[in-house]
Amino acid sequence: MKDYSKYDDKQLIGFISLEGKESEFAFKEIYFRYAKRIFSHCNLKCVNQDEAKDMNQEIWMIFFQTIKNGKTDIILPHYLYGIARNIYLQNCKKQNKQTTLNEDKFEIDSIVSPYISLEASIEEQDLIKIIKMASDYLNELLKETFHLKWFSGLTNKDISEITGESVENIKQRSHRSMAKILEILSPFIKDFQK
Amino acid sequence: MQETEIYEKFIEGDLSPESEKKFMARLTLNDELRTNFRHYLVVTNSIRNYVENERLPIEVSNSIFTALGFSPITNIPNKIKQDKPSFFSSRLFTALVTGLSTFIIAFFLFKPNDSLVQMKKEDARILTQKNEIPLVKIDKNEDYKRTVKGNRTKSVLVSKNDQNFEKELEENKLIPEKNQFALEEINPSNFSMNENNINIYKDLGNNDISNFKVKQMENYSSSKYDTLIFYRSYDTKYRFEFKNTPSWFSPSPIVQPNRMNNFNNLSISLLYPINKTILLGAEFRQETFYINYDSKDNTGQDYTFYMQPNLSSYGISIRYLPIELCCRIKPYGQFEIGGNSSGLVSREMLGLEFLLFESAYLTIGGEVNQFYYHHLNNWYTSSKYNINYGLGIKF
Repeated sequence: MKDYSKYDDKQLIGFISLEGKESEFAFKEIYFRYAKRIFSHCNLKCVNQDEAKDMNQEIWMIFFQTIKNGKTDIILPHYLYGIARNIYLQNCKKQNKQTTLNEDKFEIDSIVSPYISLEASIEEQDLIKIIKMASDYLNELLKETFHLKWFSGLTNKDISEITGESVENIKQRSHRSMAKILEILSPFIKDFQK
Repeated sequence: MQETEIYEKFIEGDLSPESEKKFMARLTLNDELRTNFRHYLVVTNSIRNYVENERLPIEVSNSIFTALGFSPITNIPNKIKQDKPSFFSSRLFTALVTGLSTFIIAFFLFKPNDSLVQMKKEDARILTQKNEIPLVKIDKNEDYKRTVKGNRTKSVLVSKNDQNFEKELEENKLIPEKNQFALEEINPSNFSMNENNINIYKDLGNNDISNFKVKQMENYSSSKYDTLIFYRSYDTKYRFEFKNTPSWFSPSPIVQPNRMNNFNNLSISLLYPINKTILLGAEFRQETFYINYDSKDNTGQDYTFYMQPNLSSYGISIRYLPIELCCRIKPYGQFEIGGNSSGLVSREMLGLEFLLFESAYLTIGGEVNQFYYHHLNNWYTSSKYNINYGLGIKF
């Protein structure tokens, strides 16, 4: 059996486009390279884990099917995040959420998940949950940038390729999102540190 | 520039020295900035720790695999694409450096001056030799059956002194009668003897003095010779070896054992020479193999299994040491077959022995291992590669 860990993403995508076991092993290798980050991203995008699982599954199915349909000029992990983004926007449309990825039309209230409240007892939450909750108070664009940069570990350039925005824009958003998170969290971090 | 941008650049070392100084000065004087920076560090570290420790639920992966018609897996590796470690930080490099440096240091520390060295010990003279250490002697008045360290002997040569040795061997005689036990251990095709004579047709070893033919022997006269040299054609001692065997798997593992066996990758072995060039031995080794195969569970469901079990393997080996190079180094080839609780193991090895003393040597070599295991009546194989290095003791 080949050691698929030795191959880069492009070579593995080539193997996936083939038939048989080779395709399966190559897919699994790619999957384990990015699955954790993609699933984590889905968790941030969705209101509960069941939705996140569905979204995650859809991403990988689309990815696999796309390659089988002959598209192999795919850059990872950008392509996977791109699929996630599209699925998220479609879901928002279905649920009639007034979410647009246009910064000028941004309104906090339109995207704040209704079940999340910063007034929940912080004694029962660890800091990471509070950070996630705080990120839900961000503008959709800032939130997306914040998640991709900090939770998915992508660079500004990676994010700009996924979103189609300029690197400079992403850079600005990244810092603005962090500044806002710090502003929101400031009193909670003091409590947390105590 | 936003403050968080300055924080990020500061942490990543991207600020110019001047900006860094300014930032440090502001941090010192500005309480609010200091608090904000501390909060930034708390938040970023929390996220980093969370991301590193987050686990991927097994059912998430298996639901995707089954939906695509792939076999599910029983253990989800927590894997992130990482840069490969450089050669200099790899285990291969560490093992090579450790093994070779020990070998080289020992080589220079224990290198003797001459091929033949005479030492005096009380009234007996002992001839030792650089490479083989097979030479033992008795004093003229002693029983020649007894060797200096109790080693068995294979043949007998006589010398009055080391100069003109060949000539003297032609002229001088050997005494066979009380030495039957030794002569019997020479391969019968290499000598013939009768009541008074012995003819040895073959080189007795791979050293200078062994190239002489002893054509005739008569009764031994102890007054004529000051030294009897018993030449041992091969080392008949038992050997105990203690080795480290760091491993590399093929393919690379994506799962690791939660806990390794105690003394993982260490081996002990006992060997005995059955003739000059061949040793038989037995080995015990603590090790792991990485196994990766497609099969089914008891219900017939397809699975891909990824495992790295801890194994305690036993084996029997045969080692062949065809020649001795200069400098007390002997190359060897070894084959071993054995087993453990999960299957069979075979190993092929090429290595070197370097003699430190008559009773101690270092060994280093490369080894290829195969593991044969079965699941639901199907046999599978897995391979790994080892660098073996360790110490051998003869007793």
